[in-house]
Amino acid sequence: MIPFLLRRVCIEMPLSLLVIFTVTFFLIRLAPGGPFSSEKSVSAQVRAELERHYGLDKPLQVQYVNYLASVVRGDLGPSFKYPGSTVADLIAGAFPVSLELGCYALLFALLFGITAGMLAASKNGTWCDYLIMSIGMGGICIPSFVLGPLLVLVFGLILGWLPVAGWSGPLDRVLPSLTLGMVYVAYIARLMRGGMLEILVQDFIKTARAKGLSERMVLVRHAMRGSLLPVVSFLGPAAAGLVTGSFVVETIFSIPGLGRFFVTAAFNRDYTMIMGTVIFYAVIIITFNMVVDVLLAYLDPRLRNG
Amino acid sequence: MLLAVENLEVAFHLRNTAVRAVRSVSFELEKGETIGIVGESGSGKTVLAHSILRLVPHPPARTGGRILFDGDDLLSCSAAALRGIRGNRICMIFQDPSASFNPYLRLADQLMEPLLLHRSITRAEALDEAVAALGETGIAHPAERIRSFPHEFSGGMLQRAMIAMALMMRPQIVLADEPTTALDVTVQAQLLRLMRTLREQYAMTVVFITHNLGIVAGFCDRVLVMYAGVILESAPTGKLFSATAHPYTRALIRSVPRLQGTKETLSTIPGAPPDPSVEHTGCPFYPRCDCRIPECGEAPVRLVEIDEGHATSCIRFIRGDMAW
Repeated sequence: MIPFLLRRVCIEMPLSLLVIFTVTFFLIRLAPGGPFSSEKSVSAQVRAELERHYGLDKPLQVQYVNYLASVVRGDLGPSFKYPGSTVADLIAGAFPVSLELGCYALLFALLFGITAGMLAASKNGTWCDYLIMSIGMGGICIPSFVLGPLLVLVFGLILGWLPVAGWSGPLDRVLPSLTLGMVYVAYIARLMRGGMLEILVQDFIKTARAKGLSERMVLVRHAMRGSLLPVVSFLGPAAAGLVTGSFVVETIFSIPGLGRFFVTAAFNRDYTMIMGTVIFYAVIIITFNMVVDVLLAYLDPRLRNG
Repeated sequence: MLLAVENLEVAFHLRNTAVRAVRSVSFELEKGETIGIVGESGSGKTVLAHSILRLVPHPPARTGGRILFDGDDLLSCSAAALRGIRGNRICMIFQDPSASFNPYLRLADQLMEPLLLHRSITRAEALDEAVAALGETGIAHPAERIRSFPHEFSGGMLQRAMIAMALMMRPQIVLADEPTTALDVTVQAQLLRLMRTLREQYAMTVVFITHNLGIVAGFCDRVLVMYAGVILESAPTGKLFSATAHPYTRALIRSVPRLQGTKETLSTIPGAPPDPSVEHTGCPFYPRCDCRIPECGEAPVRLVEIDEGHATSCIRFIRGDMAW
């Protein structure tokens, strides 16, 4: 396990990051316009001065090498659109908020998704199964920009139980977490149900029953572990997406998270900010996938020593 | 009498057909005897064994009749009562050892499970007992090996572990569902020897399901021959071979390859086992039988004793108008 992880961290991760870095770097330069082209009030001379200041007047390959060198040193550069702030500062300020929100949403998704999936699988073919799966289907189909305002309407305005927006008190966390996590509840429930139905027909489940275990113990001790495998595989990219924030949810609830940077940076052609968020997102995704591989090996002993 | 199966019916109700896997099967099991159930694949042997512990999934299966064990009807007793019997007083050895262990759990956890469930003992005591049971089945260094995962064991070793798991509970009845079929012949022989030793040591009652008549001859006191969910012949092992009283049994015996004798073509039974979803009147073996008379296709099948402990469903033998 340890040599496997070392290889992942020392060789595969830097290589993937280099590829992502290179592709992103040249792709965003292909997009028309630049960081200062939308500022109409800026004269041509000032713009040239700005571009010179940020090194944008140099040939592309020189910019590439310079920026790569600075990123390798850990410096993501200054933001073009938020003068005075570095990209690293902006990410460091917003990420904790998105991380917190993402963790709540993930927790909510796991708790309800796994329970609902297990319940549906153990009652396969009954009204209980159909009910859970229909709700799940709804959860997948309703986009967060519909669900969010709907929840705000019901719990914030009509019932008045929860605040409609903001990010100060603990109650502010509830509606955004539900909105963000709902789709994942549905996905996890479906994956869990499918995984469990596959496990429940295996011979070893019959062995477990033949031992005299109660149906609940058969599910928890013998069926759950194997059924979790598809859920855990899904969790890598899902958790990475959750903790790096969602533009929609953060906008609806005016949360100062990371999600908005992905979108605004792209609109603004804020080159360093785009690069910074992309690299950050890539690191998170790669790390989470690695955690998933470790988790899978923990769950399924046949994957160890491989 | 330890166990009495009375008119057991198991049918699988599918969308528009009902497959009657076990049809009105009755037999009794005396304490300490080993009964063999033989038949081709699909004859209902496994369903019969599984329904004794109510392991056949409901739905689609529906069962009828009674299975009396110690005054309780296993088919209608409460789930809690059944759980107290499963894995404790009646234990099962399954067919395919590599599929019958949970691949995600260590063998120690799986072997200790029935002990912790049915006995009031600590984990340490349960582990000791499980290690001892594993050692008894001839696995070297059981204390270390028990920490393995199933995929680290060979098929033969897993079946030993399965036997250990069943026998360490000292059950009153062991249901062995083709315990050696998935294994190669040398391992098969070792395991049969092991089971024979342990059976004598603990005076166990065994229901041994197999399609191998050779195993029946060496291992069982009494044999039930099953075909299309029906018992066609029931006899003490010796009489089954010396005074065979059903054409199907004779055909089965003839199709066992022999080492001695002439190198003739291995005899097979012409035709295929009947489609279980098709209802048949009369003897289910009728279409493939080379001794059939028109009446065989009509008269209902029932076992009639023709000699002490020897019953057949063949009307020609019951009447005594046929012999070979």
